[in-house]
Amino acid sequence: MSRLLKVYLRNIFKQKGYYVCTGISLLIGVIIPFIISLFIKSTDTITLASRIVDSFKVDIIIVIFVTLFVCSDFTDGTAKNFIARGYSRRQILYGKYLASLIAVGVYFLGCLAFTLAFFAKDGLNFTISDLYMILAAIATAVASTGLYVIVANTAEKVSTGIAVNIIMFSFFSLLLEGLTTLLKLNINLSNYWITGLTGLMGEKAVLVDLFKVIGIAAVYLVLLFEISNFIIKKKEVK
Amino acid sequence: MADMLVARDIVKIYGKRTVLKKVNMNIQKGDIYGFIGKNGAGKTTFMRVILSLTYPQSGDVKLFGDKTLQEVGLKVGSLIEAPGIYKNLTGEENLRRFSILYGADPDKAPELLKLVGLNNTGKKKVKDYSLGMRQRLGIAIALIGDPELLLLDEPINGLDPEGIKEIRDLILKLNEEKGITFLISSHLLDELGKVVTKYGIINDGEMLEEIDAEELREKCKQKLTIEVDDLAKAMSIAAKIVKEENLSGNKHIMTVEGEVSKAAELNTALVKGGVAVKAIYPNSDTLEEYFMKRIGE
Repeated sequence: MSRLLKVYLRNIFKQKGYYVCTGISLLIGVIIPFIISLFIKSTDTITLASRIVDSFKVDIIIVIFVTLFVCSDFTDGTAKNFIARGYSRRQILYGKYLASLIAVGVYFLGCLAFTLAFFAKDGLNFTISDLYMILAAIATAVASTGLYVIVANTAEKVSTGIAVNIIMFSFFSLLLEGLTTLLKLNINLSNYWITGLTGLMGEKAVLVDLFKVIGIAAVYLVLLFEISNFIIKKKEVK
Repeated sequence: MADMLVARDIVKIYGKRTVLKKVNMNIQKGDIYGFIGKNGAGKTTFMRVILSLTYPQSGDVKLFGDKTLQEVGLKVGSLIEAPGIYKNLTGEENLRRFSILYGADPDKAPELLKLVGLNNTGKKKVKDYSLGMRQRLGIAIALIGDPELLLLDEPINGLDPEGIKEIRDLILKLNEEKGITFLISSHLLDELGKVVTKYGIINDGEMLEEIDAEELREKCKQKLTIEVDDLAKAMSIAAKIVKEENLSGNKHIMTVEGEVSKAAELNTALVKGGVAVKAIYPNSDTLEEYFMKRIGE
């Protein structure tokens, strides 16, 4: 498994798409807001920074580089080289997931470092609530990355993977929000969808909410991997 | 000799079509097994089953005695259909990356490139390689980690005559020097005939025959061709000496299958019976002719 992870990490970190996506993300999330902030003087830079860090959860960026990485095995036809040497479909899926998680983590850290470098010159006023919020975002990212990897691995094609991961799941989120309004529910259903779990954290994040997010994310992950293992178990590898 | 690959009753069904019908295969250590059949006969599907790229509806594959692919995967190299390669990397980078995956020494990559004649490709990306170069790289990837069993599906596809000879020599060299066992499928029967020690003939998903190359050569030899002036008369005379089912004729040529030793007796009888014998000689089927006969075409 370590050899598999090593190869996948090389694949993802030597992929141009990863750096293009990160670059775009930094441009939209840090550089442009920084330029704007030079003209519009804000006293609450940390609030602005945290809003920007939040904007890095731009799922689209993650979806694109994760899908490009996961599907490259199928588009290059290299997946069969793994299977034919005795690696199981399950090991391959977990390998891709772990490599994607590491890449997403590096992406987050990179974005965070840039944000702090640009916006936190006057020091940080970090509360426990902020920490809970970040941990909830990490739990959501861990679960949603699992979803993106599984969808891309099942779709095998970049276009299908991106289409399903972005369009279908965005539509699903909207649908849940629509249902909430239509049924006049007290809870927002879209906050329970895998990509929107941070919505469960209130204005002032508390520990109970964080546990709730982590618990739901874990249930999603287990369910997704069980379903995926069932689907890929007998799947043909081209 | 030790069993390297034993497949029993492999059945593979796609939709309503049965692609493999209880196929059996036995490959012993040191064999160069030629797997021959028409397009769509089931060769590639069978090799894919062995490599777990597809699962059979029933049947069993054992490698190196009684092990599964998952247990011995690193000892099995393969090239199935188009080679699986990272197109944005160079040949050497590809070999290094797969060496890590297979637990082999990445520094042996240049040696492997040299072995398949790609040592002068430098920084050229694989996406700029020709079909033949990609095929060679695919073979090099299959050779990573010194596998004991190599499965090659149409390995000489896209190669020029020189390349075909090089790959043929490489197969013989690896078989003789390193004792690597091969399972090779190919349409180029004459090329296959130059290296193979055992054949498996598959047609329409059924394994028709597994036969040693030596035995096949013997079978192909046993044919007598007699050129006569009166074919009908010659056939009736010959039918008294050899089995009728072994006789066939076309225009002035009478063919006797499998009874070469009766050449003199036949000649005498034909001459006595008033048939002019213009020529009489033993000859052999080519592998292609034998194969065509075997599949009934």
